[in-house]
Amino acid sequence: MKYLTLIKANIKRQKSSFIGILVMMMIISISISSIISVNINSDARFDEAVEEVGVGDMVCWTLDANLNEPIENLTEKAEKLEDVEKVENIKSIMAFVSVNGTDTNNSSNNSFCVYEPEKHPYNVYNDSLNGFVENPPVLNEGEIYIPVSYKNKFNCNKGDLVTIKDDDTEYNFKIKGFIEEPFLGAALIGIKQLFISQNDFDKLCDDIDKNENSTMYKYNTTNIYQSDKSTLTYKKFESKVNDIFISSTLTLGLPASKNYTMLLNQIFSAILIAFAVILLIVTLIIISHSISTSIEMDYVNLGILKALGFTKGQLRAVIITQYILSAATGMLIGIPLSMPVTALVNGILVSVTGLLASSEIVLLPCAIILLGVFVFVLGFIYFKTRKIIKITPMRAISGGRDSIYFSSRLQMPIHKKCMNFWIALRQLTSNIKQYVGVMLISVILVFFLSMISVIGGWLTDDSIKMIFTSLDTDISVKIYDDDISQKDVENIINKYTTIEEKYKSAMEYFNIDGNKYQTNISSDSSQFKNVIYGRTCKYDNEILVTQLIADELGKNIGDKVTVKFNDTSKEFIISGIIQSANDAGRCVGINSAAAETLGYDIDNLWNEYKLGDVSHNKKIISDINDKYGENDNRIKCNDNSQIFSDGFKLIYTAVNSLSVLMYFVAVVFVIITVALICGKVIAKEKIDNGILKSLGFTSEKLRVQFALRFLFTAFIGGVVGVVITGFLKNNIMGLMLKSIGLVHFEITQSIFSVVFPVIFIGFIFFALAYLFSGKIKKSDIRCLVSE
Amino acid sequence: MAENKNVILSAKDLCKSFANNGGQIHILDNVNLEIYEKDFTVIMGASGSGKSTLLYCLSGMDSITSGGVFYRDKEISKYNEKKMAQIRQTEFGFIFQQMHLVSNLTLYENICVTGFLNKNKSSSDVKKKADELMKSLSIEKVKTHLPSQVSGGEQQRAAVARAIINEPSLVFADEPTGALNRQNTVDVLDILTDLNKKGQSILMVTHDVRAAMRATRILYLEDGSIKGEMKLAPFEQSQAKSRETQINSWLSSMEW
Repeated sequence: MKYLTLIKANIKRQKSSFIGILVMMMIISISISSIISVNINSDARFDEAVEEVGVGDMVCWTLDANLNEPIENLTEKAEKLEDVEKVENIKSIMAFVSVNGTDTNNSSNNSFCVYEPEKHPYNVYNDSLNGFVENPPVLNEGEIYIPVSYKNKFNCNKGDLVTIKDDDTEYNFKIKGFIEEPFLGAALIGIKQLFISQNDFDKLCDDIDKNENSTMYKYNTTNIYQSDKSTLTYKKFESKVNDIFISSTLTLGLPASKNYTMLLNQIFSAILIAFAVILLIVTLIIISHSISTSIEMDYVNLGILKALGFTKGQLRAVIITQYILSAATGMLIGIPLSMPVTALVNGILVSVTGLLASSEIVLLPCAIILLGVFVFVLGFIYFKTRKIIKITPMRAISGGRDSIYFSSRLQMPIHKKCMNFWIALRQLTSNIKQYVGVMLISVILVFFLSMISVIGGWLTDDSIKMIFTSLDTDISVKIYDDDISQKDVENIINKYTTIEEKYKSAMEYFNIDGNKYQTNISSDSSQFKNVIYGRTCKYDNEILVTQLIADELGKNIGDKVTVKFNDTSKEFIISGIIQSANDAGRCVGINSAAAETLGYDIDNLWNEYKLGDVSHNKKIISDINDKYGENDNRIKCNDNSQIFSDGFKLIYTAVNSLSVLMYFVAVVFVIITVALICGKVIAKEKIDNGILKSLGFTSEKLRVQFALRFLFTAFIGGVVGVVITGFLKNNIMGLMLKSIGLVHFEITQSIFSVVFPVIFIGFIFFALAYLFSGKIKKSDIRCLVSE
Repeated sequence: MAENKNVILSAKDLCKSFANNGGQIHILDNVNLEIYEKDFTVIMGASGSGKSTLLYCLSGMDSITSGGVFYRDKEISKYNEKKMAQIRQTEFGFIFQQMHLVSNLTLYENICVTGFLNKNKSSSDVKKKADELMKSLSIEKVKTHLPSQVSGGEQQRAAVARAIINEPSLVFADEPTGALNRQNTVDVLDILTDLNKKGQSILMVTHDVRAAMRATRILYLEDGSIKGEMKLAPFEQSQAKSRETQINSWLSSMEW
């Protein structure tokens, strides 16, 4: 009973701390439960959906025209492999497509196939995208199902048109609905399956056969299912199958598909985890501050309680219970509240992953992790309450409190000029321990704000283009017609700007040590600008690989790999590590001479031009198309700045949004910190404020002094935060973007990224501390009498 | 004697009440008094008589319920916080029972900070004056010590120095010897007596007859009203015994 009375009294007296800690632990609980649930549910949904629609463990895309033998033979050979359970071939068509008037070819390859719900029961989303339609309607002629990720990407709705432009013909399909396509449906995967009726498909096939100028291609999408008995790892399985499907253009396995699908989930989760961790640190700092201040303020009372017969263990238990009660309540409330958050995040991620994951909370894993957090918090509180052991009744009652007041002091002088400044500095330095928490929070916040500024500064058009292209080029031109001379094309370009550099390049899929990787081929190996270790591929037996591939293959610079194209294979030496986010970091580079030794037709190479002024790109391409006919398949031009403009915009928007979010979160954290710390500090300094008022200091001056302490603390913390950013920025960027193949960074910190976050955090701390210090105004000098 | 002196502080119909369980407790009930320049005025009274409340109301540290407090004919009880702060900076000095030095400033800094608030004094003048005061109060050896590192007597001497560094017109002292031992009590009272002899006006609250002996005027407060007044010649140590008897006798007549 006596404990209960003490606990109730303490909670009542410190209700702002109790509520503050409760709210923060609730947010932590919501964040953690949401992250875990979103990840586990998305992961589970991927596996379920893949199972439901019957996707193979590995899928090969083979152009009919490239087949070295009939697809049926290849299928049969694959089926005979002991590790293969079955093989299913689906006829497909690749075509240039626009959705709702927007060309999709810059970002996606579109594969058309027949909608067969009895064989592959793809789910069709309802209008709200929060559930599926029961018994999805079959497709009539002129109707199409497209992946849900296209809805946001191309801002299209049911009833809008998907158009295939082929030679002089246009085929229009009305969108009947959006499907959940687990294997290729994620926004980050550059190939998409679009479903049409059997009649439409047959018609397209007929037209391809009839029109030799058709830009559509007949493909085979082959699903290969690994046997349950197979003990091969996926890489080995893929290598074995690739030996049969030598002529396939592309292969993709379930692990890679899952990796691409979950990539943004993982980034999103990493942000939420970072948020939860920072919040946990802030909470621990506030708990620590609250416990220390309470013990200091209640020093005498605790001594008296000891004199009355309370043991140190009992007093400690009272304080621990009081804080744990607050933390546990917050965590428990957070669990059910994470359900709507999970639903919200899932709703956002539908257009990214293409999956409709469950919004239910995965209770057991959440409970285990939250229990871990709880035990950690409990341990921390136990540690922080150790000061109670040292309190003796005699020492407490005889004013032992004084010795722990202002226990450390730096001899900062006090001057008449700018006295508020000097007094604030003294108040800070004489009790620096009290502000360590605020300082730590400033370090963390400025570090994050500075880091986001660093990322924003690093994200230039050039840096993104280099990352996503491997090669540096402004305009790409492919001449299909022998009557068009390259010289004539270059004359058109020269009318507008100078050609600074020119070379030839192509992007193909070659088999490297049994795995298909995107291969960038360049006639000028010096154009591989992002070689981070070693050197570029000078000779025809040298290859550049990304760090991800090097890790996957277990190879390094100087090691040999076997590169296979169609029937020809050859050993290459890894001459360097290249950095590229192409195919999420799974790409290699060779020179054109090397490609030729593998039997690659170098006539397929595009002409690449680096121009003096890129502002004329659109006009140049328009002139070329006007002269040679855009739809005649005689020549094709790409404005590379345009190709990536959508990507740039997306990334800029994402980083800008993240910046705004980070600044918002920083303000929220500062509000929480200042609100919870201010009350305690002001209560603790009630007497000092009374004394200073009695000497002639106004409340205004005392509030400024109070806020200045927070400004100094935030400034010191901010400087430390910026220095840490300076040291860790390259490593952190590497860590963050490793999953898309970017590991090496040499970023310079701009003045803005150094100065602004420090000023921002300093100002926010100052302004909020000033606002929250209104209590000083109310503190009466009479407190000096009662004391 | 009083007629020849200037009134420095006065109270007219001063009331101070507190709300209590729906009712009101009247601490000060229509107090009318005048404090004269260069007097050492002492307010005495039993515990709970309202003497400390009266001191804080007169000094502007506490609000009043009705009536008015006048400093040199200006009604300071109507002053806002900023104006009151200006008065505290230059015109009033305070000495508290618990000393109340700023805990993270050294004794020297406690004194100087008060001096720095006076806009009419330069920084060097303040420092020079602080040094002089600390020397005259025999605390120059502990000038760099924090309050928690010195004795109660030394703290109270520093508090006296702080109270007078700006040469205020009036020093308020609330039981300044209440927390001191016998010797320190005598030392602090000697300092106050000396100051008064040099012309410093002092208004002190005490319940200690030995402290009240130093007064030139004693006001007796009972149930929130001034019940009696005693005027005395300036204190001389040689007359201490007879003075104590005289005061005790007067207090007995006041039913002390």
